[in-house]
Amino acid sequence: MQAAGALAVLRSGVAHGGELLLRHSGAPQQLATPLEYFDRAITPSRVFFVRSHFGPPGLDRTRKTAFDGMVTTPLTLDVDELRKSFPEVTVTALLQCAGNGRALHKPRVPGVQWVHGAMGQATFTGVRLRDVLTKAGLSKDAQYLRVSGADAPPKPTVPAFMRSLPIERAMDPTTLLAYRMNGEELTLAHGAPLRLVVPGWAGDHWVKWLVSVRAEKEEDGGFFMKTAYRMPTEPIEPGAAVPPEKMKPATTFPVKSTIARPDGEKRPVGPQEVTGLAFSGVAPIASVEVSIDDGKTWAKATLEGEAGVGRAQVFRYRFDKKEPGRVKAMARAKDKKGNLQPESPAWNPSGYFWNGWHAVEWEVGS
Amino acid sequence: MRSRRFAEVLGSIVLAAGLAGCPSSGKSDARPDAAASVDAGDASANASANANANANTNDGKALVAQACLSCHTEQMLAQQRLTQGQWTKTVTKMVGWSANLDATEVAPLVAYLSATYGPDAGPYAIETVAADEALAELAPTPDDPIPAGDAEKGKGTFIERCSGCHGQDARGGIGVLLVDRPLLYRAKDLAAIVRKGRGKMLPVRITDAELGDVLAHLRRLRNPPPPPSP
Repeated sequence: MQAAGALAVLRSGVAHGGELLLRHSGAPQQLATPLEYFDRAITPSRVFFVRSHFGPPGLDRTRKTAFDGMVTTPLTLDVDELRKSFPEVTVTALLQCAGNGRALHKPRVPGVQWVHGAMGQATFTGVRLRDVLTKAGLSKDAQYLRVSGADAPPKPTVPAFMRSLPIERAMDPTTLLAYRMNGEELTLAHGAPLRLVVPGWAGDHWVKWLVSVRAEKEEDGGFFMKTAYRMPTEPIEPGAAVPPEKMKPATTFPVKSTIARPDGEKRPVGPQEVTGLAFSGVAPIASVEVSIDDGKTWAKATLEGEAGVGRAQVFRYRFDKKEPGRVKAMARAKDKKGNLQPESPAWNPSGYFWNGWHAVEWEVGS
Repeated sequence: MRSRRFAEVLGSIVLAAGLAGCPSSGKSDARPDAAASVDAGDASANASANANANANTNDGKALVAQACLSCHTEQMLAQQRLTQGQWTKTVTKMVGWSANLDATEVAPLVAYLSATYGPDAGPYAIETVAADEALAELAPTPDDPIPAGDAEKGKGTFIERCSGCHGQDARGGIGVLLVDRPLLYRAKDLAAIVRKGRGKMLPVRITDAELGDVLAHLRRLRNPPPPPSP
């Protein structure tokens, strides 16, 4: 029964250098990070998940970005000019695709069938978007920034990908125009030469290959704002159709924890450790609890690293298993606004923001 | 090490799916099997139904190649587990976006996709790719043996031989966008596609020199800024 809806991983016959990604699509590349990398605060760039609607444009490190629309002084700048003109800032933030966990929603919905791996945390270095907007003389009447990249659709009849970012979010000091990731130049797959960084907000806002930032009065009326990336405004029956007026843009991702280890392999009797990442796009993490008795009792895990909105912390829970046998561990996180990770999240038509309890099982032997 | 990785991912998926509340007799299981029509009847009817099913499968595969695979690889379809209604909606959306499909081909494609990638299609095996390989797929490669070309000559060749499908400005039509794409910096890959054909595109006879000219033209193009909001 479960197998019908579940996904399995095919063993690739090709020899490899060790680091693997899960390939949900070859072209355009849709690649997921394997769970094992979520046992640390920073996801290595080489195994960092990759997602875009149309695939990248050609690599052009001199590509310029236009800041125009409702501004007094339109600017057109490349990365070198941005670096010279504005203070450099680095933020650590979790990037997660809105559709991460889509394959776990029942009934199934169309889209990339991500399981757990459409997320990762990195340090992003760049300049603050608000610094550039201030220099351009952003109009007080502007309500949104319409941001888009150089990744044009395969045919002119396909809607171009873009986001309308509310000005308030654009002016947040953590919203960056980033050119470095984990201390290195951005790679093409991750948006080189320039991408947006919008901590706490779903990955679709982190527009890659950025070429246009246009201040406008209205939210964009195109497909990617008015049809895609929308969530129901109230709970709905799984599988139900939702009228457009009862949908709103998907923005911040909800509180979630994901277990990286144990990884299903047999462990010796004795000390056991459950490790993973916890984060919320709404508030810093308050606590992570782990249950090893099917949810009857929960114990607090320790949290490591700096807390922040849209910033993942490593959690760790240690316990002793004195007898051989099977163990199942589940994790649930709570954020500082009191949001608790649900056992099973509400279904929505596009399969966004799955954040149910994650469980792992393993065998403890003598 | 590797097998542990696979077990880990698989184990977590099945478990998480269970925790998420898999339907025990839910909608996905109640859906009539698209292949059920093959079940009934005597042996000869069965044989002829099987022959039809095979023909439909071959037709379905051809339609997928023609309509879907110039914009995305088949994995995008194969990982889905959708009902006929969901496939109808998806294919209709894609036709609206100029997927290469005639009105008469929509129903057979939907039937094929529903039968092949329906809710009861069983587990989907996610492939893996080495991190190095994923990087290399997007990286520029040496042009050799495609020579450096003349952009103006290339424009003429492009207009004459490519623009019918790819558009005067190379932004796509029947064929796909050829402006500002990593493939333009992977001349050997591009040459192979052009000469072998892909999807609805038939093999094109073109010399290395002509291809070099066309590449010189295409590489100087950039997409226009996004149009104003509707």
